[in-house]
Amino acid sequence: MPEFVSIFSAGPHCSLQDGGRVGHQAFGVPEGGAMDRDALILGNRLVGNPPDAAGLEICLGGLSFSPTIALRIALTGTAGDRLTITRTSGEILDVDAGISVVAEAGDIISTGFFRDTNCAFIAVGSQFDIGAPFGSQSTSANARMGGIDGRLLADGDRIPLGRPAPPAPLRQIQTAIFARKTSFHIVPGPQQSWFEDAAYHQFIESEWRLTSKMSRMGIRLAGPVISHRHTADILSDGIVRGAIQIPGDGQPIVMMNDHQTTGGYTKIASICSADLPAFARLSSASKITFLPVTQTQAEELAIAHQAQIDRIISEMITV
Amino acid sequence: MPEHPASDPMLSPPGLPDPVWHPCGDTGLLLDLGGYRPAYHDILCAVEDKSVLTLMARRLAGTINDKRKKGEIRGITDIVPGLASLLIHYDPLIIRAGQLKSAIYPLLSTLEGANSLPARLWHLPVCYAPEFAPDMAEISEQLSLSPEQIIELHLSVTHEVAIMGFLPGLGYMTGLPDPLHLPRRANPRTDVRQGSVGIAMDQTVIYPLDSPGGWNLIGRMPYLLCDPAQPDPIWLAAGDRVKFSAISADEFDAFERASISGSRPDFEMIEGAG
Repeated sequence: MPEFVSIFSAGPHCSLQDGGRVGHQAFGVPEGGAMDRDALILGNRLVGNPPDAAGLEICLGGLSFSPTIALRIALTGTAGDRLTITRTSGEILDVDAGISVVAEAGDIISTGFFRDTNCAFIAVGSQFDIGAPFGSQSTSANARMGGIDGRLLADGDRIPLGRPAPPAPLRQIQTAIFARKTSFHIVPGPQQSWFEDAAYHQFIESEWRLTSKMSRMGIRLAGPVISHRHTADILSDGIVRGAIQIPGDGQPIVMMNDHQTTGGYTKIASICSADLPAFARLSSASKITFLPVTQTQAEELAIAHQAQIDRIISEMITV
Repeated sequence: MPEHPASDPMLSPPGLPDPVWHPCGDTGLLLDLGGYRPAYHDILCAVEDKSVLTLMARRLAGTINDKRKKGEIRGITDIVPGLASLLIHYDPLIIRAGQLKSAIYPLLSTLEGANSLPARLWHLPVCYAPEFAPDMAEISEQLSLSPEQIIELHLSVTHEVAIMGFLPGLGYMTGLPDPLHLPRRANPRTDVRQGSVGIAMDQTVIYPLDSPGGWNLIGRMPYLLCDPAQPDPIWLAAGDRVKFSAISADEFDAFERASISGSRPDFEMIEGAG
């Protein structure tokens, strides 16, 4: 009988996510993968996994599960929320984000509903023994692919475990990188010119509210109506993660990891890759603003962001 | 503004605009072969121009992919041809947009005078029976054509996969005869069944999975378009040609069973398809 993780309560939106399926978008295969890449990489570092290994992505919270063998686990993607571990002895242990801990066989690990983030990640110190269509175990629910039967996790699921991570000490990282942000760098384009200057300026100067229409495909924003010069329709083109699409109703949709690979609506700008993890952590009703930068500046932000991740890893301490 | 503007009159076929780069955040670079023309899209690109640009985008994608395979360009993570553009996904930790433009700029000249390439022509069976064609009665009225005439027109032409997108294995196929052009449904369906064949505008799609969708459904195709159990899960690709043939409901069941055990539709190579 293989070892496994047993899901007692999957909560409203929990899925298996790794680094995603890269390089198949020309066949309509969405990239998928963890929406918060910082949480993925740092969490896997804490438990001794390769950086892109699959773990549990939890939106809103409400997850509880138990492993059949001892596993190192770590919660990331939040600075303020915690894990609760109920030992078989009845002892209850609260564990802060950014710390790895050993869950013993039969322990119950749970998250409440998050207060500090909308989306957190639990790294699990073992590979999952499930299929990897197009090179990834990530659940892409709209493409019915990856995870368990291509769907979100459900109560009663058993996720088979494969190779455990090599033995390593328990570790702790600084979690300031997961602090809330309200301003996001964007690069204008590719269809900025489909909007009059006044409409473009209204877009960058307005405060935007995240609506409750959010999924791993996209997050709808609400604010002033951004009108098009002529039409919202373009000849379909490829889409990057973070692209801000403005369909006919003039209300932006930010394309998240499970976005469709091509589309026929104008994209006024794209959120910079360095800022996308923080964007994925925002709850509905959050208010945000945008700060335009050039593509070159955005690339420099990505390089600086990677340096910050590297610094956090180098400053990781043993606990 | 681009450090190395792609704009060069030598590169565009007569009457077509010069290509222009557009940034897509810090992980994408869009080469718009339709040029920088923020005009209404019907004016921007006539149908015959569009098919030329679609072909150029696909060829350039092939050329860049060859360079990637040889290790001559690093840092590209994916290449997605559009109807009149090419999106190059890249990793800014490995390559910068400026360097990518320099590397790709010389390849644009290879688009000129490229010979027609052989293409795959798939023979896809479709069951047009009423139980698989929930929109047939309605569009028959809209188009003032009988279902038999609609089916005959759909069978009469060779369709071409212009681009892929929306779902794994879904191809947007152009070539629908003029009398069948109509908009998508005003009220999209919440549950379109896997294999459903839909038409709208000048195109046909086949849904690879159960999905919401707004296309007008006229039949169903029995083969799986995306089968992750296979080493090569998706067989349809941009540039492929498709001919449909009508089958009965009994034949549909037989093909569907064969598909589940790994069988794939027949194809032949055709010359001079571009």
